[in-house]
Amino acid sequence: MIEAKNVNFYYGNFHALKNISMQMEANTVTAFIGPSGCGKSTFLRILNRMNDLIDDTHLAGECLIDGQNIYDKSVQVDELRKKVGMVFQKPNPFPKSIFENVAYGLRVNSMGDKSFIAGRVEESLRGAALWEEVKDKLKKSAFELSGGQQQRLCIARALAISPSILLMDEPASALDPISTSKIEELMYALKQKYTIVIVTHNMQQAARVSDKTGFFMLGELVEYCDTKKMFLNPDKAQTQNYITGKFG
Amino acid sequence: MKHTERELQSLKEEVSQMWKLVLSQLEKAKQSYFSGDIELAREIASREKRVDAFELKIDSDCENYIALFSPVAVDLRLVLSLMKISSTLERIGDFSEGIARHVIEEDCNRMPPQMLEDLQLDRMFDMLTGMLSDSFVALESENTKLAGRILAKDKEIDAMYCNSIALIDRFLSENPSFIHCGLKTLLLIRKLERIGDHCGNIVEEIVFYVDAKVLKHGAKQNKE
Repeated sequence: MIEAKNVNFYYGNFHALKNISMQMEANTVTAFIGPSGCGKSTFLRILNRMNDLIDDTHLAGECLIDGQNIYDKSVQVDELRKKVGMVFQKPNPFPKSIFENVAYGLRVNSMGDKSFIAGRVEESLRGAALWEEVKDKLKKSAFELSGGQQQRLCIARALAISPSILLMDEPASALDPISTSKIEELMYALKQKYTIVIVTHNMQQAARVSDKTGFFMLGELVEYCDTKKMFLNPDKAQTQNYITGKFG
Repeated sequence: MKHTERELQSLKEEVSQMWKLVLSQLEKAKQSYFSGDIELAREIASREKRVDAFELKIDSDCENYIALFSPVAVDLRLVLSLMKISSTLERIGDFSEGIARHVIEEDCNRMPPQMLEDLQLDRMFDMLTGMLSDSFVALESENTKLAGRILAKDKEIDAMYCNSIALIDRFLSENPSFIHCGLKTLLLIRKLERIGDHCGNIVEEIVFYVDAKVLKHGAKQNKE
């Protein structure tokens, strides 16, 4: 389970996230929606400490994964990121073969021998619903794949090191409807094994794939509830105005 | 106003026009029944086609709106409600036409005036036009406080219908020559009772749209 307790985040003097408290259950898909600049991607990056890489930022509050504060000094960031994989808006395969892209995380973490790696690569590609399309060209460059395939390759790469959480920052925004549909189907299947958190600007996508949805606005979590409720009868007028396109 | 809001507004406007037409059909049905005005009854029957056309147009526009704009939350509830309301208005239009046909056919002696008074037909008609007008106001003003009042009137009409069965039964046993006319009158009252039910259904849709609450099938008492 992921839990944020009074999380505040600052870029220099800019207060980007204000008192965010929420819980995300294991094996669910949680979607974050909200207008650009509302803090949803910042919050997503907090969950695997990606913001640590940005200068002059500061976090207050606690972010717990399975009961442990991931900002505790005892936590090793590398270990955290093995547990919390991430997929970005634009597919970003390494300039390597399809096989090596998926094997990369295993190799740098010295996880297993050749046969173990080969097995895990296949398992991850199957998990990302890509195996059937690439099994005969594993040595080809990842750049030969289509955009949708590259994104699924990135998901396979994230799955290879067996994370328990998968963060997705607008994973389908650069893809055509067929590839988008495959990614959404994949999310649905993956939540049996993983906890998924997705940032999306596509309201219908949030409605289709997620169990819970959080609406962010000006750095605040305005509303967080079951997705069905969010899109049928949200509690807050601000949420209703946003999802019905009356502002934002 | 945004493009999507204008589309919704025009959908609402179409339903309003249909509502006014159906209300006028019901008022004229009452007028033609009590005056025996066959010409007016024929006018009602011919205008029924316009009611049907409204329903088809609204169905198609709602379908287009859902397909093109993917509405959610209150917008989705409004479109779904408007579709059901238009279908219900069409049924009320049918019943008004049915009453007009009753006048056109004129194939029986009219019930004695005292009997019509005892059956409170005049009051039933007035209550129904009032319910239909009030429900229109409830939608226009998005005010669900009127809902309880309209649903209570529906119950009153149900009771009047039950009472009319007993009255007609007694009357016919004493005046068997009126059997055909008595049955026709009972059928007419049944139509009025059904119109009351449909007004109740419309109110349920308005409450669903405005308050996101479902009153159907037994939950009505929550509002009363």
